[in-house]
Amino acid sequence: MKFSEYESLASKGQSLHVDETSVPREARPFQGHRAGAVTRGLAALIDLGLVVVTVVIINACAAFLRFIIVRTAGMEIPHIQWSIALGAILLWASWTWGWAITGRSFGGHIMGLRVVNHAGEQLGWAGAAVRAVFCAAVPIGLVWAFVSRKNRSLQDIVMRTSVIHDWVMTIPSVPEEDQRSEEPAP
Amino acid sequence: MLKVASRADVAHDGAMSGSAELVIVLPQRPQQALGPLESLLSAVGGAASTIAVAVDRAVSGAVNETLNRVVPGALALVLDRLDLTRIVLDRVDLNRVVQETLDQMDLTELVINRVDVDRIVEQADLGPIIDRLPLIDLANYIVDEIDLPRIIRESTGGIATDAMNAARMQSIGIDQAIARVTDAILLRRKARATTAPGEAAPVSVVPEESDRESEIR
Repeated sequence: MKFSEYESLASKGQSLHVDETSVPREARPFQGHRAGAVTRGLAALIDLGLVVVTVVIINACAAFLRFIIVRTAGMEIPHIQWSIALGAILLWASWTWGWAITGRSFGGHIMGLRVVNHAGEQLGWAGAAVRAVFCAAVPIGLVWAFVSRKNRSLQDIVMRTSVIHDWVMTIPSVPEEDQRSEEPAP
Repeated sequence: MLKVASRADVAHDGAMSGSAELVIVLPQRPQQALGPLESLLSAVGGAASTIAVAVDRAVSGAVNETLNRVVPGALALVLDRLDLTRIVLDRVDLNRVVQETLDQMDLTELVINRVDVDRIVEQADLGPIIDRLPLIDLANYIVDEIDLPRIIRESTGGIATDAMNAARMQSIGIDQAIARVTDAILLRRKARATTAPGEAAPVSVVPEESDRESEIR
């Protein structure tokens, strides 16, 4: 592409955003588009795997502490219900935190996904918490993304959210009001 | 006393060739002894013609010399009294003259041949030119063309980054394949509408979404 062509694209507002140049060329067409079920499923699996590992570590620590303090006969593995409950809480907490702070859970970070609301903005704490409950309780809702014309899961349809490809890692920006107040008075 | 001779009459001297030529022969007057009066007249005539020639030469030389001296001076005086520039400006259609001249000249060729462009460039003030250049666009273009991010990724990014990008691309590929199959089964003709509002919304966003996006920004 010659510069004149590039310039004409830029004048139409179709040139690349500076941030986007950090994305591999082959992935650029997908940026901002809703992700498919497989990518999202993988992200969720990564989150789930992380939670399972965390639960195992917590259980092991708890068993070890009980072995030392209560003097149990050998290592006692906690009840599976307790582990599931702990895992669900951890999953809910990690999703809420991730979606509200950066729009990405850990799995979303790895897979380059971001959750946005109907206006393309980041979810608020309440929205993220409700969506996290919904996702943790009805994980099967993701299957709808296979069929949906818009790659939306059941949760997305109900909550009017979208999960988009966004490989650009950005630092959360400081709101403009704060920037103005930080500027020294002339 | 003219005599028209046919070719046959002159063929014997070999001087003429060809056919059907007319040869005009002027026979010499027979030499006659001049009388005393005729001799005198002839001498007087010769002398007169010689004198006439001499006088003509002398007069014409003098006249020429005088003209050479007088004309430039007189012309200078005349020109001094005239505002020739004013006259030209008033009387000559300069636009037409210039137009005609330009039409007959290849000005580009002339500049290429006659103008030292390097010297002009050497002395040109580049600041205003650079001010007019879209430098950021230019920089973005260069970064994009040489794929600087790829170079940086390759030189600094580890295997993990490459593996992550590859995994992301593969999952996107699988998603697309599944979407194609599903859409084919469901007899959908149009491609999926996957554009979504968001900061990373790219080139192909629909107008209303891009407007909304700019509002968000």
